[in-house]
Amino acid sequence: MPSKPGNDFNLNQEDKEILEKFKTEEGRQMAFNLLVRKYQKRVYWLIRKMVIDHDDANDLSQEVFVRIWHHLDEFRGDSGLFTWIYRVATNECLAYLKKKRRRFFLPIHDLEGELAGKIESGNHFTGDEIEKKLQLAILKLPEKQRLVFNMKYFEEMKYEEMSEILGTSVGALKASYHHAVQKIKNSVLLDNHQDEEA
Amino acid sequence: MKKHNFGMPDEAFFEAQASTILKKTSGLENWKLNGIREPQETFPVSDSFWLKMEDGIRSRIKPKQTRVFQLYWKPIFASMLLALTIGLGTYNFPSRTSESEIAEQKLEQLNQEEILNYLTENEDNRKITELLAASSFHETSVELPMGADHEIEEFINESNLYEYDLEPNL
Repeated sequence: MPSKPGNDFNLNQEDKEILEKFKTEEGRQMAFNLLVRKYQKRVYWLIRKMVIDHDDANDLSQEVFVRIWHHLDEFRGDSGLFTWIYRVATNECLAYLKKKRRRFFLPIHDLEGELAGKIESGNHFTGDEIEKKLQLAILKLPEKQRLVFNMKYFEEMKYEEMSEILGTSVGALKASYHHAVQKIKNSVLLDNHQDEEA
Repeated sequence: MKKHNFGMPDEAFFEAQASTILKKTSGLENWKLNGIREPQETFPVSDSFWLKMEDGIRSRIKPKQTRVFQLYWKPIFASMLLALTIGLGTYNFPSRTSESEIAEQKLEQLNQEEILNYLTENEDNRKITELLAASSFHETSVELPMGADHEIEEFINESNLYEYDLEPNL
């Protein structure tokens, strides 16, 4: 299980070393390998929770690291390295979902329905009934709110760090998370109530 | 000023309300559903996947280009563009003095007699040129002796071109 991001606001020593090595011709490849090994799981799980499908998550994660390879030179160290990587990953993820909606040339492609189908089919998700209900409730949220919910609920990320990643104020993120929790509570409780009645 | 007909709540009310809001929001903040595992346990992934993913990433990245070109291509391009601009400018805007203007200036320096002599001389040259242009060569029929090669060679050597009529056919 990957460790939680924790305090990644500032560059830690390991990340500093990775960045220093990446700047040199001979150390670049090695530094990049270290970076991939260190962050691949976190990036993958962030994306997997958003796109549900394993193959899509794999493709997107690889794309994120290819982007990092090309743009790591531009990283100025204003934020933690992981915060920067997470920002690349969230942007890539949101762009992918937007593109997927447009692929079918229909005004509203039922992407949520497609993703919910993947969860219900059991090929991509092995959770029990309550876990399935939670995932289906999360899918009903708008994409950015899903990101916020996943980051806070599963990764226990700080609002300040989420603010750096998503470019949204802490206040707005708190409000967004509270709304998300309220919607999910209602959705799960409603489902449970319907199950009991049935 | 309009007077309200309802009573104002006291300080205790606002304190209680703040407490309720804080209780509600902190409840949402720390809300967790019982029995929920980490997504890593509910979204299946094979153990070998992480190494495959690493290989996939490595196969998709290309070695970086040398920084020299990346750093200096802009000034190089700018210099080339400047040289091209200067070249085109020079090509399109030569000296403003046209050929006819130069000729006029030269003619002004000559006296009239010189010009007349030049024209007369050129008139003679023109007539000669016309005469030659009108002329054409006669077809010259030469009867070659039938015989051995050495006889033909002797014939050519002994023959004189002046023997044939090459006057222009006027």
